Amino acid sequence: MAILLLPLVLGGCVKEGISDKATEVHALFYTILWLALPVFAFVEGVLFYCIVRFRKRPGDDVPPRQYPGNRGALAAFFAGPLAIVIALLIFGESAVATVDRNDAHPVEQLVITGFQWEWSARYVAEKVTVTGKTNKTPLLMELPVDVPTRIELRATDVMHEFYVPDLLYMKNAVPGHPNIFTITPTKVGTYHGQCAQYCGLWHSRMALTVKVVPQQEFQRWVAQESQAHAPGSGSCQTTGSAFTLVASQTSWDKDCVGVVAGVPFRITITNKDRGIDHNFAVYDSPDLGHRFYLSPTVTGVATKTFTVPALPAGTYYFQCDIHGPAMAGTLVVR
Amino acid sequence: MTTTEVRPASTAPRPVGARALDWLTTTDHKKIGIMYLVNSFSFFAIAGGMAMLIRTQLAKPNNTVLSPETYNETFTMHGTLMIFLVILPLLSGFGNYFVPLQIGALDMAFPRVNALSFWLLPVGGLTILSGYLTSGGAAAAGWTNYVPLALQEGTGEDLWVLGLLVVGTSSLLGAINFIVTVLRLRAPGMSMSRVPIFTWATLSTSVLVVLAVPALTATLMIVFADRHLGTVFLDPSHGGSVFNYLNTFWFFGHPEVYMLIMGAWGIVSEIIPVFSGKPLFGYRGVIAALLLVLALSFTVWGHHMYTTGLVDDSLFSITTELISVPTGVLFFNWLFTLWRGKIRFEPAMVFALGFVAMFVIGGIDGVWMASPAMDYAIHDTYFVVAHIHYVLFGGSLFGIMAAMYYWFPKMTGRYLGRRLGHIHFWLTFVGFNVTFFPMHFLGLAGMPRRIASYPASSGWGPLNLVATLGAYVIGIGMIVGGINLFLSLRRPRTAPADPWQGNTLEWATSSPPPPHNFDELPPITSERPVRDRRLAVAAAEVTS
Repeated sequence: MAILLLPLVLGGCVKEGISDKATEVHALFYTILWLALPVFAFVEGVLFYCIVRFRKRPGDDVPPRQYPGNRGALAAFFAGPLAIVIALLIFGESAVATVDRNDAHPVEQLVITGFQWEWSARYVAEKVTVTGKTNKTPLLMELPVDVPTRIELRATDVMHEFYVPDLLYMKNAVPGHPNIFTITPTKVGTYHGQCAQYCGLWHSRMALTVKVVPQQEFQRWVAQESQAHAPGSGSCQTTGSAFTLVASQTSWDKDCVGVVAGVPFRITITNKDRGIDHNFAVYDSPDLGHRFYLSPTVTGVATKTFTVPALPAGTYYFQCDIHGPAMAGTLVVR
Repeated sequence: MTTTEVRPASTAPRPVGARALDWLTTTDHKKIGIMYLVNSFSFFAIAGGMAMLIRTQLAKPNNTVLSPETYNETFTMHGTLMIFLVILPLLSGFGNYFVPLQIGALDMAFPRVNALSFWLLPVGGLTILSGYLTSGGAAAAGWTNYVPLALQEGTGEDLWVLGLLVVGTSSLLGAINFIVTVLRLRAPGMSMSRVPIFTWATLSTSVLVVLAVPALTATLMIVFADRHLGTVFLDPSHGGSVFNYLNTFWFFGHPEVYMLIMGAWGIVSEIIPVFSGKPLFGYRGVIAALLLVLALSFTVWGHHMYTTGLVDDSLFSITTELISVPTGVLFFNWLFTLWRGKIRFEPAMVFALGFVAMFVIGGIDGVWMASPAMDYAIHDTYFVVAHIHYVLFGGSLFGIMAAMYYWFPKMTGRYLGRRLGHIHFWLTFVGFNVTFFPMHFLGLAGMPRRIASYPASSGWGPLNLVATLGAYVIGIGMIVGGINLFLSLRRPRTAPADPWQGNTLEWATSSPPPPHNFDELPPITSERPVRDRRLAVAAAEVTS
């Protein structure tokens, strides 16, 4: 009998939801529960009744009546489940239409990128990028409460899945196929998120934190992040025509390197991340307008040296193309 | 004074070498069937041991029993072996042994092909496992082997691909053999409307295999070509697409689920009537349901891709919900067969009833995932882990255990112990629910599947501990089942031809059957020829 009560307990465990759409999904859970419970109770109940009531008694050797069934009963067997299925479809299709409908006028726009094994989030209008570092610090992203937000999901290497349980929502980040959805968070709070699509070695550590905050607080946070990630001042020492970058835990050991203008220079990459690929790319700015150089991939653990063609004097942006802003810095050429 | 022992030459013990050679070169479907079972239960022990490792690692937060590399290999191999080398070949093993007997045939249609399709199995299975011997370890991309992840993997992945190609070939050859056997080798009188449900189920499964496994083969070839031949089918940076993989894989992958369950439906549809003393309620309805599932199973693959953003979620939710209609019909058939029966609780029946009780949960929790909006909240969480185990363990494996207790006397002439059988059932049944029911809650609490560890702050620790303890109970249950098997093989052969008062033709011959299967066949005038003959004999005794 205990097993009959379990689905009721189960019902208490679905999350309330922290967005307009999540509330809809929360309600759908109960709709399905109430349609499913009678089916469950019927099958287990009849089964239990038969087991108790129709057991063969010792000494009773009279065979039971040999009833092979009839067409009417069979028709009912098909009709019953069909009726339930139609009800499920009516509620289900209406819910999915709501959840899949994207807000036509989103205020905030984000590009969230999954890579092995972390996330970065770019606030498009604000030109601010925040990022997590594998096994070190998960992505911390803030969202303004009650503001319709458009999220474009991308993946740089393999499939990932953006999943925040309290949003009652997940969506794959697929290489070569950006996915777009909108949400309007409605409850202030701090929520855990995690990659849900198995993506290799450190899949279990690919976490993120979503903070839904009041709008003024969001503006403050964006301004602060914008400061923290401002392009380098170009004050780092010029090391001549060669330097070394060490990659460890999806981070470079330096965020600024300087070289002499007009002559080719050598870069040595030491990749300490076992099984993880890194490379070195030079761009004009964090917006990745023009790429000046891209090194071959270095799979950890390994050390390799490459020669970069001469660059005119200026301030450049460098990153590992696989991990993006999680592994980025300023290249000063003077 | 001399006593002469009269002993036919054929029963004299023969040298071990000769007997081994017999088994290695046999084309007898019964021996091949037994080899299928021995091979698959060996892989079951390996894959079950892996499940114990997985649950041990997840017993508490931040556990370090397995490194992430080892954990990823372990769940990949657990899934791969259970699906491709345990459940499907176990059902094929029973099919091999019993389909020819149930239709009154001498053997399968192509006995040598049959031997080949068996021998490919251990070859494929060991090829997959041999990944452990390579420096990069075994394949670790999950049994679904999603790309581009699978393209990053080492040599273990190639062995996985090659091994599965071999296993797929084995399934294909076996399926063609079953189809021809059922269509062409039925005894006189055995019309399609008298063919036992297990044989119908094996036929349906075989049609699924023939139509779906080529899609798997193609998928594996594409992965191999992208890895080694420089093609870019799956590489988005060169115009390929991940969806080329997802669509072909799941076009195979969903019919695959029905390949793993239809045989068990067939088994249960044999056992429930026998131990209720009644005919199957709506024999033709069950066949109609099987055929409807067979047809619809090719229209639902997109529900594995609701969250990928490339399929029409509404369309696939309609087909997915529809396929639950014929599945639901089966439950009515089973329940109404029990109704007003006289139920004998032999271990085979107890496992079959356990199947009905558990498979309905696997069917119902599937409804949440069939609804796309709800699926967005629970896809790729432990909810789906719970669901698939209610279907494949509570369903397929309970059916297989029922078949083992039901047909063991026929295959060996010996009964499996009744008392140990009940202990085996209850440990498995309780352990199963303690392990997998809490996973529904874990999924709703946001625990993704396939994670090697989780932080204490997640709050998932207590339920995981419960699940792990349940898994150990299952483990003990399976050991009891193994002991039962071991002890029973040492008992004398006491099983008569028809120990359970069966309905179908396998009970018309001795236990075990002679190499040629039947000395004589009863007349076949209904779908229960052995019962018809039993009644005729009883009637003749009364009148004489």
